[in-house]
Amino acid sequence: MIGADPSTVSESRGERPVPRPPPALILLGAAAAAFFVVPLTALLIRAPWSDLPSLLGDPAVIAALRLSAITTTSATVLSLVFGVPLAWLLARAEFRGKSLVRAFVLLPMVLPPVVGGMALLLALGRRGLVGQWLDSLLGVTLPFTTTAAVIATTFVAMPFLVITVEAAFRNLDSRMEDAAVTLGAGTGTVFWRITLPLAAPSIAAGACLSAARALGEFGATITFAGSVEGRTQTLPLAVLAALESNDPDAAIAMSLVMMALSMIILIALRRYWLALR
Amino acid sequence: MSLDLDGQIRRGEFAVSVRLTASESEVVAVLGPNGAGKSTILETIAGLRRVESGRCRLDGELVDEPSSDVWVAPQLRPVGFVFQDYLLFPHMTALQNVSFGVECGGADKRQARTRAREWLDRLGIEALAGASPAELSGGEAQKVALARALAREPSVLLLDEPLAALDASSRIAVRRELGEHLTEYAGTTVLVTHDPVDALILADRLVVLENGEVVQEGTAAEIRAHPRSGYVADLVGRNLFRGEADHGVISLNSGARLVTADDRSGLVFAVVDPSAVTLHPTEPHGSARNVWELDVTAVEHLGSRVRVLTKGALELTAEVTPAAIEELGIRAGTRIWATVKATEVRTHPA
Repeated sequence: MIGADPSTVSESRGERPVPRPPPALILLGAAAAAFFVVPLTALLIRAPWSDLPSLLGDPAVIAALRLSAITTTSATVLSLVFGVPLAWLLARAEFRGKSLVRAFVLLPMVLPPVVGGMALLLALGRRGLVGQWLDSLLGVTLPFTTTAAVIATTFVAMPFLVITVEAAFRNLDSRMEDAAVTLGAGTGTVFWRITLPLAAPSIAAGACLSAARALGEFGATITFAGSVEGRTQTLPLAVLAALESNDPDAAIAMSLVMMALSMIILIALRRYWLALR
Repeated sequence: MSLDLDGQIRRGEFAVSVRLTASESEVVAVLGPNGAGKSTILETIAGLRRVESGRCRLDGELVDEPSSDVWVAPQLRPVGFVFQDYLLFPHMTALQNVSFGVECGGADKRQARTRAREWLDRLGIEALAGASPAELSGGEAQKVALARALAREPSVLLLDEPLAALDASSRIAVRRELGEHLTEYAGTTVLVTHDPVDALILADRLVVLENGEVVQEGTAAEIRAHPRSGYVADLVGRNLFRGEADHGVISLNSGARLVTADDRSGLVFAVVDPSAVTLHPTEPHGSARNVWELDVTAVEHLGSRVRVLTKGALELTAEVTPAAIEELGIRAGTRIWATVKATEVRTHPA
């Protein structure tokens, strides 16, 4: 090897040599990794594994689990049902104020959730913009109901689906749709049989992201729906409640459940993201 | 006329002006350089694009005329489109791709499957029914795309650069098979290509497009013999012969023989570039393997070059400089000797 860089170590002949990283990068990178590894490991180590069945069997915990299942699933389904059409419109349709609409839709992604909860309260609360009509005309009061928890969760979760799926619709080769049209397909058939299946991996990825966000949703829910046990108290809210009532074991147990669920979502997401490449 | 397009099509800054007519079972090739607006014409016939002014008629029915607000949506037009990169649906098998169009035409799923299978069978690719487009070679994908377009039984078949996506080795075989299918097909075919050989071999009639304008139109023989511009001459103004090749010697129907360096046997097209033809006032004694004594029938000036049309054992066009014409004293009626090197005779399977 003539003039070989000594910092370059060739692992085996014929392969691209892997450069040895600079020490500063190793140090900072390792610190960052530890920053994630240590807390999550602490949770696993401190978990009251033997008491876990009884802790999770507590009626309050079961109620929270049930509510989280309801809100997460409902929010994901609602995001799909309404978010996919919205993403299509944003990607394909031409209308005035489109950028403004997009900004409004995506804002909840970056907005502090408590602000989202306030906004929902002002819109759908008993004295709210829309809420007062719901109350007087239909006799429906949303705040502090499970429906409110679902609405708050959907509010923060749907933008993740919309942004992912809109990008997919935008990047889709529209000539595929042209090909379908020349084969006699009407706009409906093109959407259901060509556009949607081609965007399926992105839609699945968007749904996973929404589900992850929905599972962890806290701020908007507590603001708009409160933390009513059995009605609006989802797992994250129940963890806080457990901590406040000095029951750290229950809080850890529920945290473990959410960690496991998050792990499942992450694995699913990885699959769809790999499929996208 | 099963196809009559007469109008102007705008594509951004670029406008294409075209009059294109074709009757049943005719194969028309639209020939031109990349960016001449060839694909735009096909998209307009299919209805993926509107004419800006003028009209388009398919099967005698007006499908697009802005002045009278007539517009038939693409999905309702009797058109089959084979795209350059085929655009097979990646989430469907070959069979599903073909049956998709049949289903859209109103057939139920089972009927559509049966019809699709028949078409795969007809194109000799029934074994590929269950394959996904990603598994297909270029030639196979082209056949599936052709089956998909034909299964709708369109009156007009549009082919956008059908051979451009293929590598040189499969091109020849695919072209020959495509030619056979086009002969069988009863409808009108409009074929877009930048390759004059494809156009000469596959089409009955050529439309040459340059910068969004039709510069010449006619049968391959007409255009080949009398190209109206240097551009057209370069593109199609070549000598084309059909004959039986046997160990480097091609016997033409006229009885003449052509010696080629290509080692191909069987029925072939032989192409000789006019600029590869050398003219001599007396019998030459060189290394050229092809030597004929011919009569000059016409001398055509095309800018800085001159095309000399000759007749004798075969019809041969030569392209020389005006200076050479003067020096050799060539004019209609002159008898001259023409030579072509064997390496300049290129063959394509017919």
